[in-house]
Amino acid sequence: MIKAQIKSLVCVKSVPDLDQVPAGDWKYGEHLPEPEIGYVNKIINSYDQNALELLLRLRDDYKDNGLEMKVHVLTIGDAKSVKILKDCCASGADSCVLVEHGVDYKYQYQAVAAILNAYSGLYGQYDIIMCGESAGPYDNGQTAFALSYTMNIPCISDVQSLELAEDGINVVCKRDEEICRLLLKKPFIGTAESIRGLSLRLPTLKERLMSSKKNIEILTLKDLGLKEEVISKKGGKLLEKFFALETVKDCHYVEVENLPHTIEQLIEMAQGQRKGCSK
Amino acid sequence: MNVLIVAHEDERPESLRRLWAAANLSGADEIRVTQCILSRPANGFGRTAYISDEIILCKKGDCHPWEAAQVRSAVRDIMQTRSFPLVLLGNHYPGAQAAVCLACDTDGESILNASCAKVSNGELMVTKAVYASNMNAVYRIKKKPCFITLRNDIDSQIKLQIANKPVIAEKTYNFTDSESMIYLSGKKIEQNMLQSAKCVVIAGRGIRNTQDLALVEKFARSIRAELGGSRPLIMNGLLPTERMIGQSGKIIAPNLCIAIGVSGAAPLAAGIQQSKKMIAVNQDREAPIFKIADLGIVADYHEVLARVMR
Repeated sequence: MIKAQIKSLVCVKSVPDLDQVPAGDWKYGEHLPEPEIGYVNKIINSYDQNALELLLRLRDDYKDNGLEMKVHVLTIGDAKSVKILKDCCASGADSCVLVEHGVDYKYQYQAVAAILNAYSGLYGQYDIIMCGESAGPYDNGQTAFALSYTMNIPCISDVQSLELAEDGINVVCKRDEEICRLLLKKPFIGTAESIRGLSLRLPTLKERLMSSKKNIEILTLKDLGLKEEVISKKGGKLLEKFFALETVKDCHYVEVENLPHTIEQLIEMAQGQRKGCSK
Repeated sequence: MNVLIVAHEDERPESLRRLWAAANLSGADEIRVTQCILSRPANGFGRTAYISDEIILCKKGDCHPWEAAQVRSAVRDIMQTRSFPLVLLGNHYPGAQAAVCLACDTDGESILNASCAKVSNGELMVTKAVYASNMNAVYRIKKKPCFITLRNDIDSQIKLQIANKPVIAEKTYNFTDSESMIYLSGKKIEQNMLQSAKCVVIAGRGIRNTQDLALVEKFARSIRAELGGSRPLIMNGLLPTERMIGQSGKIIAPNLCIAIGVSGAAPLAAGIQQSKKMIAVNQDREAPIFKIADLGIVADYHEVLARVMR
């Protein structure tokens, strides 16, 4: 039995479900500086969900073996973000916080890291902070690293699993073509991406009903001692424009009746059994 | 303009090609490229291809892989001797983390998974895929230096050459072990069968149930192809996570890719667009998959597969 106490935080984000956007809706232009996809549903970023699941599993795997662990969830957004926080509570999070802020920082990861750092500093030193590798349409993937720099604690990317150890936490992570096993002392930050074999828990109806009654703590930038005009200047780049990926191939359409011979040739070519192919 | 490339001794050729292509910024006058080679005793200097005008060799005393904090130390030392407005790092570990930390150190900027960089009207512009690769965004860099890593699914196809370049500086680092993070063990991941297959069949959202999937699996077995799936199939539990193709899964470049019931949404397209030849089967002639396919079959895949397997 390993006696330990862990206070953990998961940073999550409500993002548009881009799978719902048909190809023709990816429009932009002079009068439309950003694609208009406000009609799609918002969901919790899937990588953030994986990060939450990793912490919940750590808590559940060792709670009968001496581990006292709390899992807190935080998001930055508007009132609509409360839904994903309630979903996290239904999944098993102990408490949730909304930093209510109407500005979406998009590609300004430095501003997001400043908010997370301020929260962590004011509301208790967390032993483990987890988040998805990237979130939001701009696919930054930099917030966790910036937070790690600001807090001066290690950051481990692509975490696959967490295990309690005598001297800290065993972290299994993926680094390029290697699965690595590291021993981390608290505190540290971890990011999650796609995790092989990880299936997410589905809250029961009872759990959802109970979470709907849970209070969500709501904070503002002022509560964190931050000023919008200061943190919004932290970025060093400006978005100039969008453009679409260009078509590169001229597709040759084949009638169903002519199929077998054509496909057979291509398959043989692919397997290296014969060279050349005529369509 | 001075450009610094930070690459490992054993950096993969496709990564070196990307770095070299990106370093040759279009629109810039007089580019001078310096290559920082991160070496360790396990490697042995001299095996890498040189993609620059000059070399700075950074050696470390232990055999463990370079960590982000160590890369950061080495690059900061280099940048104290000369100004580099643009620094390119390999996308694999620990390039991304090192890039962000260096940007914080220098009050510069960082962009990960960029597609390319260029100079326009004297300003550094960096392009990156956003919105799950459905769009590209162009950023104007206001703060320099700018630290960039390049996305893995682009290959410049240039020919790398081994050539003698002057080593203008050499430094050996003896880093002390970190007390907060201890490397216990590492195990090489076996190359995923999808990434090594010559022929891959991709099942898309049009495959709605296990019976449909069984038909596609039978087809894949009949032509000795590996089977992959788009994200919706994985999320529906029809295929395991390791078979996911696309931006969230595997990037593949087989000789032949056969996309069955695949719409061609950008995240999946990013995973298969390097295929040498692609056949797409979809009932919708307007499906985006036909924009990246060599051969298009507008038909019900049940009929198509039945004919082919007859």
